[in-house]
Amino acid sequence: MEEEEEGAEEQQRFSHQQRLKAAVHYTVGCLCSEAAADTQVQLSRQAVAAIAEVTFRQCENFAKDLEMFARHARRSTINTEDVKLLARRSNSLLKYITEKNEEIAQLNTERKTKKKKKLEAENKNSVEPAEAGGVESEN
Amino acid sequence: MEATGACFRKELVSKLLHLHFKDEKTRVSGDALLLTAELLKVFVVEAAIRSIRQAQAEDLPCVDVDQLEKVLPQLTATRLPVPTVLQARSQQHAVVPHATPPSG
Repeated sequence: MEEEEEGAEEQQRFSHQQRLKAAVHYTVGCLCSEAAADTQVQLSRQAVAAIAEVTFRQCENFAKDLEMFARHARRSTINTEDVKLLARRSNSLLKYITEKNEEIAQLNTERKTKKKKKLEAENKNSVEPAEAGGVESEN
Repeated sequence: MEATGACFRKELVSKLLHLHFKDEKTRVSGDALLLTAELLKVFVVEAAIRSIRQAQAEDLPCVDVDQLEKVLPQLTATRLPVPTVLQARSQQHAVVPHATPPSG
């Protein structure tokens, strides 16, 4: 019985991994056809599949390194600084990733200020009737 | 870089990373996921563009696994174990002729 359960669990893990591989394959396919769009050269199906496989394996390196970096900083949550460390070996890649990081941070602050304004506006609307209600009950 | 529409989805990157974490308590911030997705995209686009250039240098109309195999060391340095499919091929011809690495 136990062996059977273990086998089923193993099977489930395998099919989960296959689904993720398929998702990676799909995105890699899109990116490859975009890259080949302006050229006279086509990528064979095998080449795209190989890039997908390598990318999937690269994720293992990324995951293990990121986990180590975060642990080294005594954190259990991986943040953008850890990802920047991952890109440290190539100057141009590090520069690109740092710029992207700033873009993301800027988008976040913009979103936050919008949310804040929206919240303030909502509060103004909701506070007034509530106060009125409070006054009534005191009377 | 170039304007590309496709990118790795945040949920996919999260699942891919969690597949390999040793500690189940490890979490990833949303921004870190977006940045990792960007890193993966760069990896794929570089692999595609460099193998396309390799095919062009060889006057081929189509990129096959052989062209990818020749440019792969530039992308993975010493840190990535070479997939078994490619390993079998490189054993056939032990010396892989390298193209001149593209500058930049």
